[in-house]
Amino acid sequence: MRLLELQLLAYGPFEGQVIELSRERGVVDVVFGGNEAGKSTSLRALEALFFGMEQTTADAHRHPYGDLRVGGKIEAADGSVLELVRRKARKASLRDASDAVVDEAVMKRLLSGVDRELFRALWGLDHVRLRDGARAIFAGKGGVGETLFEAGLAGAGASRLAQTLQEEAESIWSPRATTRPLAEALRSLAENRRLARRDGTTFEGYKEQVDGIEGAKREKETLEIELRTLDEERRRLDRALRVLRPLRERAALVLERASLGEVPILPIDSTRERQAASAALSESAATLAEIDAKLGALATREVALGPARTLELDPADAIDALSAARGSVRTHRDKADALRVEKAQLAAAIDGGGDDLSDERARRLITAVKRAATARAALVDATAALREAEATRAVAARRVEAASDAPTAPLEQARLEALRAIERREAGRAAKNRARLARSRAEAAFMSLGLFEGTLDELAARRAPAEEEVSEDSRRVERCEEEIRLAERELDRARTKLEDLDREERALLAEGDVPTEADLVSMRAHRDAAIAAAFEAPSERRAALASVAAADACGDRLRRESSRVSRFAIVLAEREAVEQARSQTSRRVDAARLALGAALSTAAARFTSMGVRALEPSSMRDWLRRRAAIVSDATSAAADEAAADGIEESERVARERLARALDASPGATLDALLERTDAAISRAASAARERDRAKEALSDAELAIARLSSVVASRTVDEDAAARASARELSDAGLATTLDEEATLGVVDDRRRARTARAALARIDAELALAKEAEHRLESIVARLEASLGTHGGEDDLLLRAERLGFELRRARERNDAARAIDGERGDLVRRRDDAIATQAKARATLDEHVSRAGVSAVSALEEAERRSERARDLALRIAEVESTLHAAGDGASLEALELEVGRVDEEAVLREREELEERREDVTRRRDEAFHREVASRMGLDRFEESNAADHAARAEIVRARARSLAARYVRLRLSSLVLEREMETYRRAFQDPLLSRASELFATLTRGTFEALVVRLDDKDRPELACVRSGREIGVEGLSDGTRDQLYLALRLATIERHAKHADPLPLVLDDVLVHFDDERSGTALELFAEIARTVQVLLFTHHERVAEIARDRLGARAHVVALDR
Amino acid sequence: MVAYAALGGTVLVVHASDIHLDSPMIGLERYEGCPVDALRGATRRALVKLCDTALEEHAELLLIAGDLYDGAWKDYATGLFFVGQMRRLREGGVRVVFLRGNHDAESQITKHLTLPDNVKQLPTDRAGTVVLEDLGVAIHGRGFPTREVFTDIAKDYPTALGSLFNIGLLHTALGGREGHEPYAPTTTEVLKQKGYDYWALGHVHRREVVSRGPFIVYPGNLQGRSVKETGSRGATFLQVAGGRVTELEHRAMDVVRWADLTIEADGDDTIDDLLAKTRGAAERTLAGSEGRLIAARLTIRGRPRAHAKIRKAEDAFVAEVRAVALDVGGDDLWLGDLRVETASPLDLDALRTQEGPIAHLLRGLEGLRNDADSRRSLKEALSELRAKLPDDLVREPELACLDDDEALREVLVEIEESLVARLAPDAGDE
Repeated sequence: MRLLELQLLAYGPFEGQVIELSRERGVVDVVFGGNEAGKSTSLRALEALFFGMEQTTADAHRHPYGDLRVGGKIEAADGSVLELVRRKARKASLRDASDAVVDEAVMKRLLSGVDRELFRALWGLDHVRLRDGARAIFAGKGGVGETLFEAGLAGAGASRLAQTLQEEAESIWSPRATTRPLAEALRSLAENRRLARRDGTTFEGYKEQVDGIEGAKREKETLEIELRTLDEERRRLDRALRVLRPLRERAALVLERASLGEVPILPIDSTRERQAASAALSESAATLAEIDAKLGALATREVALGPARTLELDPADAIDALSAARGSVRTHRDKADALRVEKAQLAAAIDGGGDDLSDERARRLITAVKRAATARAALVDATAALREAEATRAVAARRVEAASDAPTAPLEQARLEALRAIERREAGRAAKNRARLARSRAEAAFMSLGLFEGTLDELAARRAPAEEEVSEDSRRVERCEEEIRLAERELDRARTKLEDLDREERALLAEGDVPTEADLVSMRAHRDAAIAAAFEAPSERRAALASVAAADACGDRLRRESSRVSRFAIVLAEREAVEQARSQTSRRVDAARLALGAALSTAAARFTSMGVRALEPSSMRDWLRRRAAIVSDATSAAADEAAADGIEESERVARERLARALDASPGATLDALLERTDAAISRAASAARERDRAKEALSDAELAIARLSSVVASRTVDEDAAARASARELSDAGLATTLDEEATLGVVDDRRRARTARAALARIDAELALAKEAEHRLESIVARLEASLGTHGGEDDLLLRAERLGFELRRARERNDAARAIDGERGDLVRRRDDAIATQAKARATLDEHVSRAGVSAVSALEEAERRSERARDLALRIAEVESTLHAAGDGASLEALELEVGRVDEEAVLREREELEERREDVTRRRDEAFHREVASRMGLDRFEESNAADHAARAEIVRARARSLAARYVRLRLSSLVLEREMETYRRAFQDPLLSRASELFATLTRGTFEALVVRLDDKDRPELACVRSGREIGVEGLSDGTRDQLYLALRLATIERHAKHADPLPLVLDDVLVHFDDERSGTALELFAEIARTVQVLLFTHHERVAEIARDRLGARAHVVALDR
Repeated sequence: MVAYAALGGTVLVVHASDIHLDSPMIGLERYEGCPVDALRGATRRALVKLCDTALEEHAELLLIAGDLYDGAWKDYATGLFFVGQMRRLREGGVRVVFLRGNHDAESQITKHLTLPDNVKQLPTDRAGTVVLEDLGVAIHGRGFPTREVFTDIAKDYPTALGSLFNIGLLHTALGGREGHEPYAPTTTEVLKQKGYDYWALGHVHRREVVSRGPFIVYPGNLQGRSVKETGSRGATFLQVAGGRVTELEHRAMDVVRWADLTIEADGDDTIDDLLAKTRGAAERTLAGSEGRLIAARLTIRGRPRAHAKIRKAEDAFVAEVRAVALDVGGDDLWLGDLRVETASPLDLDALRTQEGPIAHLLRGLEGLRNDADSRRSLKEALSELRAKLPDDLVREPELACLDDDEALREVLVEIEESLVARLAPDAGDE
């Protein structure tokens, strides 16, 4: 087919534009459009016409989607011309000139079934795909099959696809790898199926468990019954062992009791009672004898006391009364003289005391007199204070008048300013120093800064680039450098790796040629051909046999040396990969170097405007920092200098102002002026303080005078009232009203003392009366006692008589006391004798009763009777105890039953029997436990049926199986795809190698303008056919070609393929898009010549935005070029 | 509730079949996030749900029309599980009548299981009848003595017992049902002649009311087990009153529902269009799932323009489709099997007549398809894999090519599409 017209009806920026193409064969249509002229739009329009518009397109910016139209006139292979229009629509987008829908099949037929992508692959070529194709040849190491295949498919990467398919397949499964997903899925499938089988449960298994439970239960029950029987027997033997000894003991006790015969059983305390009675009998006899002796002795003592004296009074009472009365008389007599002397003194005192004055009156009198004296004194004090205050006021008034009042405010203001000036003086000096330092630092740094020819001030004045920008430049440069470094390192590594691979390859080859699958395929082909020939001509049989042998040998070697073959293939693949990587890395290095240059230029440009010769950005970043420090120092120095000047000026002003305020010479220093100012201000301050104090004193004095005048008036009134009250009290007391306070107090004291003496005199008189009364009472007592005793004291002193009577009375009392003691003792003895007689009778009665109860004849036989009775009682108790023990040990069985059960058994025999029984019991217990364990185990086994995991495993197995199926299916398809593609690349080579390479060789020689003479096929190290270029008779592999030559090689191969295509089928237009951008003018011209040659069979559309290409086409091709200039 | 049909009360009968207890889900592929826990034991959970519903609604009778177990399944624990559920029904007063179908005809489980007294199994050597007088119901039926029964056993069923509600329990392919073995074949006429009120059939896994006079009903299986068994699965609940069916209702009992989704790609469809279609299909499926987990197979086919792009990065495309399904369905939708079966929009026949590598490749593949000897070498290349795969896996259609030459030819057609698509350079922006 041939495109005669491309109509840009409404598409992109175009409207109604028609690109007419040449109808002549051998003419190249060169569609030229500069930038923005619409060359790319036209290309898209061409594809849109053929294949429909893209769903979203960038070409609807002028015309809305619904209006987009592209048309064209197309000449079919049969010479018919169709005019078709393509609209933007999902369906029915192809129309004819009358807008009637045209079946899409019409276009498909014209396009021979290719779609957009295949059209690009088969009939399109641009500079990118040209370069990609050239690279693919390089990547394929110039393998002829791959190269020819690639040349027919622009940029498709067939060999890469074959490799990718193989890799994808191997990522799923590989015969020798165990960790691939499919291998894992298959393992998991087998494992889950195994587990499902393992965990699957059967009826037999179930029955086994159920039977196990039942059997174990039955056995357990039987054994438990046996165990219970054994337990019963064990209890019997244990009982026998418990009762055997008590039974024997009881029998002995019963025998002993019988030997005692009839024995009266006496009360338990018979012996004690008997012994007590005998003892009481003995003791009472001895007591009676002792009492009789004591009664005799008392009678003797009574006789010795003599007859008793009878008194009217009890001697003790009489002694007490006499003693008390005598003491009282003696006491009064001792005090009587002193009382009399005191009485005389008191009488004298009473005589001098005057009239009595009551306490109340005396108190009122004293109070009144004291008040009058106090009021008088207060009045005197107030008057004196008033006079003193008046004197103070006069003094203060004089001080106030004497103090002066001079103003100091202006002086103080001037002083303040002067002080501030002095304070800032230091700051000024510091600023000056800083400025000096900063300036010298800036100048020194400026000297060493470099790169700038002007002055420091000029440097500071010019605007510098921002540090961030320069840092960014620096980082950009560093990144480029790092990229270059890394890439170069990678290149080094690649180099080393290649050397290693070369070494390994040489080593592998040193063991002989390495056969390949290709060899085998080739040999088999030869074999097949030879066999075929042998069928045709028997003479070829020998050759056929040799071919068969060679093919078999190759196959055998492949099998034998599979590891070396595979390693060799790996080495080759690795080398190819490393070469590819090295090539990419080299390009990275180039790109990085370009980027580095650009970054350095950008960085340098930033400094041009400030007149600086820039270095690399990292240095300039430092330079900028140093410049910033210099500028900062210079600016700071200027600021400090200005500040220091300002401070000096302010000090001068302050000094002049202070001098004016002091009225001093302006030539004096500020410090001297300040000194004088301070003295003046101090003096003024002292004067002011004095005047204030005087004023304050004057004010205080006037206030005091006012207050004291009031006090004096008040106290005058008080004094008058108190004097009148005092006179009235004195008059009431009968005293002279003129008496002063002291005299009044003296009179009052005298009157108080006289009253006290009178009270004391009355007390003495009372005591004297009591003394007399005591005399009388003693005398009465003495007279009565003397009369009672029959004595008489005569004229003797009353106290002497009383003393004698006392002696007599004490003698009479002692005799009476002794007689009463003898009566008491006798009474006691008589009572004790009565008690002993009663005890004696009671003991005798007790013994008589014991004799009677024991059935003996005398007390002396009682002891034996008691001993027998005690033994009989003990035996009865013991027998009862043993029987009680037997009752408990015999589990409540009767004595008869126990005796019957135990009989005459031997304890040792019972023990032996017991031991044997215990062994039997242990055995039965063990068997019972075993049965129980079997039951539990069977129950647990049964639980497994409730929790079977078989279904889970089966479910998992199904899931894994689906995964394995999916992976295996994918592997199969990938592997087959890879095999088929490789196979077809090889058959393509075989089919087309000769004609294609022959034509490509011519085209390549032309394109390289004879630099290369031809293309040849040679065998590479693996005896694989590879492409080589002949230059000056020498073969050069594709890896030895430059990028440009590789481009030319690819173009030659591609053009040869298209040419061949065109010879055998209806060709589509060949669309070349700026395919010559990497070609110089000469080579472009040569290529255009070739395009024109091909255009004889294939329509060639060359789109370009390089006017130069259009010019070359016109120059070189003349009428064979049809240049269409796009014009919007 | 004690309701006697004879006295005019109602009897609730549950008709189920093809429970295939403990048989695993088939064809679910495990990817990361596969809800294994939700998928396993689905048949058990469906049976539990059936029993729960029967108890909650006080059903009187449960009928199981065969294939309670799967034939190949021998795990006795499965039988014990069934017994456990039957005991639950006994406590709730539900009686159960069942027979053996082709799958459990020779089941070792059934042979030895001791069933509770509320469960009656119909004989396999002749037709038998279970009369439940208190319910006024008679159930006639005969189970499969062996797996393959090709005679019309329904013919020998007894005639209806007057005054009772007569139910025929039968495992049959009836007049032949596609996808099912033609076991115990019979006709609706034969069934109608018996004069029964209700024919409770089993064997066919899709629910079907074959007739309403009398009722001849397939309830379908209780739980779908593969993508071939899509849609709601469950049991038929029928109310019987006055000796006739007054209400018939299908109740879903499945716990996991299968869906077989197909996206038909249009010629202009881009990858985004296909993803949008996937989203729509997923949303529609989820809307009808009644809250169940959906196990879906998704097939994308047609000849979209995006075919080449899909083939070049099929893994990425599959991942995107899965991501859409996950986004729409979350844990409720599991895309177990995803099949990308798009074909090239190219006219391969036209291309084949051209020149150049693609045409050469197409012609080479055509040659392979027509030359058994050439295919042998391809098979040899896959022989190591073949040796590693279990036979049952190789019988799967996708892998049949490893043994079957005809299948290999079909795969070569697939490969042709794929290779041409992958060899074309990228079309740039779509």
